[in-house]
Order: sequence, then C-alpha cells, then structure tokens
Amino acid sequence: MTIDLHSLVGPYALDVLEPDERTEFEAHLDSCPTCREEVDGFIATAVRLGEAVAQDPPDALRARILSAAATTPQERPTVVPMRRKRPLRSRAVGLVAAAAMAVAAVGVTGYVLEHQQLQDYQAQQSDVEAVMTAADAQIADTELSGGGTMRLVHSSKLDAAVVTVSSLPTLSDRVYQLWTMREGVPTSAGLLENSDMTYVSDVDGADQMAVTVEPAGGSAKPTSLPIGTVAL
Amino acid sequence: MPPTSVPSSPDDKRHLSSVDDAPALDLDDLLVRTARGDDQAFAALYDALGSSVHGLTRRLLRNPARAEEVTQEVFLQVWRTATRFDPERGRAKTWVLVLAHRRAVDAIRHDQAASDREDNYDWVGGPDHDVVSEEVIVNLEHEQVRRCMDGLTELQRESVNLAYYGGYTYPEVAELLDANLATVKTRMRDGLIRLRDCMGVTA
Repeated sequence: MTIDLHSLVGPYALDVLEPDERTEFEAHLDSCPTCREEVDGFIATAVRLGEAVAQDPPDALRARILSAAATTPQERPTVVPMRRKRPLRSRAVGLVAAAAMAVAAVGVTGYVLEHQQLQDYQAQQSDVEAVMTAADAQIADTELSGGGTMRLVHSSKLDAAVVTVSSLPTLSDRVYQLWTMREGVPTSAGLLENSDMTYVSDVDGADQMAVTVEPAGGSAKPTSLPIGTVAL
Repeated sequence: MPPTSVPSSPDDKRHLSSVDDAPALDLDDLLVRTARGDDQAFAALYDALGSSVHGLTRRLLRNPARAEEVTQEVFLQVWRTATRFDPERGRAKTWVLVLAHRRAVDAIRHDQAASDREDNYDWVGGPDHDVVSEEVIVNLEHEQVRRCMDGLTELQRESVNLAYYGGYTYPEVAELLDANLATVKTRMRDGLIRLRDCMGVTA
C-alpha cells in the first residue's frame, strides 16, 4: 500500500471506502489517536447531514419492524473473552471471576439472561478443552493479510477444531467470519472475535478453514476473498 | 464522541413527545436496554431515530419501497447486534446512523450489481450529479446544515454531497466530478472540516 492512509480520513467518515480500504484504514486508526479524534468529529458531522434529511417513515413500518424484532434472536454479548496465551488450568478461576463481574455489571434484570449465557458458555468450554487437550491435537498458525494471526487446533479423533484469532484490527460494522472449506465449498463456522476460542464440530472431510471480512451480522456465503486460510 | 448539541428537527420533537413513559429520553440507555431484549426500549428507539434513518435510506435509495425495506433491515440489525454498542465509545444516534448509511450503500451496490446482470447497456448509476446536489440543497430541512453547506466551495460541496447523500465511492465521485482521486479526498476532508466548524461539532 503506497497511498497515505491519513488522506482517507474524509472518505472514511463519509463512508465511501471499499471494504478492504476501510479495514486497512481502521487498523491505522487504532494506532493514531489524532486521526481517531478527527474521524470522530467528521462522523458526528456526517450524522448531522443525515439528520438534516429526516423523513417520517410510513406508520405501517413501525408495526412491521417491531413484530419482526419479536421473532428475531439477538446476538449474544461476549461475556468472557479468553486470552489465548493463558494456561488452561487458570481458566476455571477466570471464568468464575468473570461470571461474578458479569452479574455485578448487569444487575438483577440482566441476571437471568446472563446466567443462561454463562451455562451455554460453560458447555462450550468443555468442548474447547477437549480439543485443546486431545492426544492427537495438531496445531497450525497463520498470519492474516489484514493483520493479526489465526491458530487452528484440530483433533481428527474428536472430529472438531478450535480456532483462535488475535491482534485482528478492529472493524466498525464489519465482522470476521470463519468458514469450513470442503473442496472449495465454504460453510459458515461463525463469527470471530479477538481472543475468543471458536469451537467447530464436524470437520471431517474439510480441507481448510478460512477467514473473510463480512458485513455486520455475517454472510450466508463469503462476499470477499479470504484474508487467511489454514489447512486441516 | 462530542456531547450532543444537535438541535432536534421538528420531526424528532413530534416523535419524542409521543413517547409517554420516557420523558428524559436517553438514546444510549435505550440502545443498552435494547441489547437486553427490552422491546419497549427498542420501540422508543425507533420512534426517536426512525425518521432520521428513513430519511437517509430514502435519500440514498430513492425508491420508496426499497427504502422501507432497508429501514427495516437497519432496525433489525440494530435489534440483533445491539450488544455490540458500547456507550463508552460512542453515542447511540451515531452508531445507528452510521449503520444505516452503510446498509443503504450496501443495498445500492447490491441493486446495481443485480441491475448490471440484467441489463446489456451501461447503467449510469443514478441521476446526473448536478441534479443530485441541487436536490439535496433544495430539500435540506435543517437550516444550519444548509447554511453551512453554502459555505463550502463548489468542489467541496459536490464531493460531500455525492459521497454522503449519493452513496458513491470516492473513485466514482472523482469520475463524476472529473477530478483526480487525491483532489477528491482532500476536498472531502476540507469540506468536513468546514462543516464541522460551522456546525460547532466538537470531538
């Protein structure tokens, strides 16, 4: 990349960058507090431009949206991001501490929801640990083209893998998505967040895991080229 | 993010006063509550931001039916991904409007790709740019924004208009304005600096 990234501050705030440029610029923003400040002011300015053309939606739209929301599941928050480098045996302690913090943070109304999430989370953790500690576990690391790394731990015997990404540049309104590749055919294996351990079952017959950058919420099929792949 | 000193448009005020149980409407709080599955908070958020979002999708997509679809997609995305909103890092209104703009631009690109597949002739991607900018200026409801837009140079104003209200990429803006890429990038930045200062936005 030879262009001066800072010159993209205006186009970025006006939302006119292509996805790969945007990713690159956001990585730049992370390391440039001055740019961040300017971008925040520009985005606030752009929001004013948006508000200036406000127009009432049709009344019927409100009911449609509210009833659609009523049947749409919500994304779950990342309650306890796990550190990739933390030794396995310290995780249980970290989990309990994090659970206590989560409960304290959300208060009584959020407790039931958080409690359910914690149970789901714990169930997933035992799967993760099974793979991480499998006798036949194979480990492969790769650098991702937008920055950051991906580690794949794969157990043929358990027919499962655990993928961890770290140091990925933060994206606004774009997400990292993981794919299981079978002879070039991708199947989504979920969204990736830095330091999360993503458990992937049924990897039998898969030859690669790939990561792409997708619109918020993820895609049914990849809409961009992988920023990294690891062979299984 | 700056403290919100944005005066509500008349439309906003009408919506706000219709929300009975939330006199001191804090949009950040509504979005945080939405993340916890509070459908009333979500409804109040829609009442507060629906006209801003819909105005933007109408402006960008032009087709009223398509704009409605995209407005719906935007709010469902807000509902689904509200947990990602962090009030420490930004304001709810900004979060929602940035998402709305992104979604509308994605829809334009998607529609254009579909149209390109169907058509054998060159699809020009929208009306002539002079028409776009003229209409934007004529229709601006917000007096302050219009006044500040008037303070820009022609090239700054056209660059900002085509980008934000037209949903063009900056190479497309450069093509439309017959200017080089570096010039367009600079005009966008200069235009935003002037607008920011004129509107008194601080960050």
